[in-house]
Formats: sequence, C-alpha cells, structure tokens
Amino acid sequence: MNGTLWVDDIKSLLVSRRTAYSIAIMAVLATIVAVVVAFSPEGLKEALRAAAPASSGVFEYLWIEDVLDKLLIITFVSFGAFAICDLEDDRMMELVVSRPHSRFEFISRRVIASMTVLIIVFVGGSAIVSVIGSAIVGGMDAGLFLLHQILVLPMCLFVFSLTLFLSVPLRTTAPTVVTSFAIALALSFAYSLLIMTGDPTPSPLNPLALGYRILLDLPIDAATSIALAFSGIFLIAGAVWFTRRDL
Amino acid sequence: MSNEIRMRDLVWQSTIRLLFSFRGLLALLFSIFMLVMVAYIYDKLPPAFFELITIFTSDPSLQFQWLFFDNFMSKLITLFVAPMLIFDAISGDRASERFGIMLARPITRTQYLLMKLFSASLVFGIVFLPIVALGYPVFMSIVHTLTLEGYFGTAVLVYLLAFFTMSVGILVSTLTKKAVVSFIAMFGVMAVFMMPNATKYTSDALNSLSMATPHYYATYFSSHAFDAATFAVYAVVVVLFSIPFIVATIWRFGKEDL
Repeated sequence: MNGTLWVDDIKSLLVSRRTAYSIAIMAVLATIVAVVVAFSPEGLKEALRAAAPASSGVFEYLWIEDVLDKLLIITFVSFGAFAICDLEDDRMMELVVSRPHSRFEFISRRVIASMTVLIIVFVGGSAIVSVIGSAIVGGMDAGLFLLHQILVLPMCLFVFSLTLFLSVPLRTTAPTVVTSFAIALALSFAYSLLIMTGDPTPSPLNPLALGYRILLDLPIDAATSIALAFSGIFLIAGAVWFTRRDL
Repeated sequence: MSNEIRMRDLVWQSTIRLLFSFRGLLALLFSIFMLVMVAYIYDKLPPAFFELITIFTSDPSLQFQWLFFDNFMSKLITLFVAPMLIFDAISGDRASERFGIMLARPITRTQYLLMKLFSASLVFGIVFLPIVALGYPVFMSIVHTLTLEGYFGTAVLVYLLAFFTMSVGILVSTLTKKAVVSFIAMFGVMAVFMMPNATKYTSDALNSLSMATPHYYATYFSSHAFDAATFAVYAVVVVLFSIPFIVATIWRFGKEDL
C-alpha cells in the first residue's frame, strides 16, 4: 500500500469541514447536555443516577442514551461516506481507479484512512466533551467517561462499516447517507422503545444498544463481538463488492 | 402560458419526482415504522413508566400524545425525515451541475427556491398526514382517552414544524457546497433547536428557553388540553418562525454568482 497516499487521505480528511463540523457538533451538544444537567432538579438527577449505575454520572447517561445513540451517529455515517461517495460526487472515481494500483488496495487505503480519522475525531471529541461536562456539571469522573466512550467505539465502527457497504451500490452521498442514517436510527429507536416495556436488557444483536448496556453494567463481551463481527462483514463485503462492480 | 401556471407545474413535477424517489419511500417506511412501534409497545408499558412520564405531562389523558408526538415524532421529523427531503435541494443541484439548466428556465431564483421548499413540504404532507390519519383508529382502540381534535391538531402542528425544519434546511443547503456537509450542518442546527424543548421539563430556565423554539408550540397539545384558539395562534407562530430563514435563503441565493 502506498503510504504517502494514505497519509494524504488522512490529512485531507482531518482538515476537512466534516471533521470540523463533527467536533463542533459534539462540543455544542455537550454544552447543551451539561447545562441541562446543571439546571435539573436533584430528584431527577437521583432517578437518572439510579437508572445508570455504571455511568460516571447523569451527564454520561444523557450523553450516551440521547446524544450518541440518536444524534452523533450522523458523524459516523459521514465518515463512512468518505471512501466512495466523495469521489463519486466529484466524478473522480474512474480517474482514481485508473491509476496503477488494484481496486482492493485503493479501497483498503481509503477505508483505513477514514476509520483512523473517525477514531481520532471520536476520541478527541470525547475528550473535549468530558472537559465541557466536568467544567459545567462538576464531580464527573472524566476518566471513566472516556473509557466508556472508547468501549462504545464498536458501535461507531458498525455504523461506519454499514455506510461504507451501502455506498457501493448507492454510490453518491445523498442516498447513502440517508439510508445508513435511517437504518442506524431505526435500530436505536427500536431498542429505546422496547426497553420501555419493562425489560431493561436490550438484545446484544443490536449494536446501537452497546452504549446503553455499558451504562447499565450489563455484560458487553457478546454485544461488542457481534458489533465488531457485523463491522468486519460489512467492510469485507463492501470492499469485495467494490472490486468486482462495474464502474 | 403565464409564469404562475409554470411555477405550479414545476412544483407538481418536483413533488411527484421526490414522492416516487427512494427518499419518498424511506420517509413513508419511517412513518409506518414509528406508528407500528408505538402501537406495539403502548399496551406493554408497565405502570411505573406512566408514573415516570407524569414529569412530562401531568394529565393522564395526554400521555399517549406526549409519547407519540413529543417524544418520538417531533424528534424524528426534525432530525431525519424533514432534513432528508430537503438537505441537498440546492447543494445537490449545484454539485450535479444542473443548476445552470434549472435556472435557465423562465423562472426567477425565488421561484426556484420556493419550488424546492413547497415540493419537499408537499411530499412530507402526502406521506405523513395519511399515515397519522390511519393510525388514529388503531390508537383509539388502545388509548380510549385520545381525542380527535387533540390528535389531529398536534399532527397539523407537527407538519408545520416539518415545514420550519425545511425552511432551515433550504438555507443550509444554499450555504453549503457538498450534500454531506449540508446534512451534517442541518442536523447540528436542528439538534440545537430541538434540545431546549426536549429538556424543558428539567427546569424553569429551560422551559423559558424552549419558548424561543417552534418545537414548544408544535408539541404544546401533548401536555395541554386542546383548544381551537390556541391552536390557530400557535400554528401561525410556528409558520412565523420559518419566515426569517426563507427570507435569508432568498437574499443569499439572489446574490449567488453562478
């Protein structure tokens, strides 16, 4: 694999508006959630703390249950669309794949670059979120919050991989982003609705429920393995499909 | 043929194209999904859940309204369904270089923008309102306290909320060059608009702040008994929230150098 091209992809993605908007959205939403927690009555805070015994506090409960699972999935989707959709939108795909390298090498490089940047943005953004949360709410275990964010990474990778897979047949950004976001949102709402019925244990087969499992201190080994397995399947299937499809 | 008739034809053509597109299908599927899920779980909700949601609406007869419209539909529509129909209305045409062809037609730029906005909101109405209407007899059999005017009044206000979302969306689409950036930016803006209303129950300060968003007025009857005068006023208020965004879009797009 050509290391220079890989570094170029990472650089271009790191300084893109997509990265800037993703971090900005995380910071703005963290500020809003922190203000909400700071203004919440003590009774409500105690109820939320009791609902999420393994969390670092009420801020983390709201962050994972309401923001990460429902709102921030859009950022994972946008990074998943980088590998193929960006080039299709700019009508550069034919030109790029006509270079003297295999399609598999090309797609691997793009996927690894976008996945690397996604992880950097997510971990970096989470660090900013934990600083905002600690500063406004106070008394929050920032280390535990960051650890939980890292444990949620398989969920992010699942959404990323699903988007990449869908981008092979759908090609351009608009249909890929809306379809992937729709599926992720449907999975997220499905577990949120079903846990209301009294059974607080979401299915480990739903990767979008991974964050909720962490909050409740439920076993996450199976759920993490399933999320990673789905991610691997989508990535490999997407890459193989891309190498065989007709441009 | 007058310009007015041409405009109407263009809106209709654009509506049909969007309605029978992949996005139209996705909007329909998502509306059905929410309806079926809420109908499925409502019967299974434990008593403790209803005790908990007295925080959000103290009137037991409005608990379903809150769950369906305020807790799910308004969020889903603001964050996904309405943005999906509009986010690349301008940025998509710009990227696909159809811009010049579209504007070479005998319509003004303002008409072009309004065509995009009205066709997206028409598609949303065609998909959303019949699904919600079909849901009424289903929900009536589960929730006996549901009232016709409260249910459909809130549905209309939520439709107007979608129109507001699309007004924001067309401005964002005008300001951005890439479809994916439009979607993320619009999503971020709408999340900020939605948050105060979603969290207004936690404090008086946030409740006051939520009054500065259209979401408060659109979901008012999910925690208050329906009355026609308030409905009319709040419907106007939600539409008024859209006006500055439409004006800003027309102004910005009018200055755009092609």
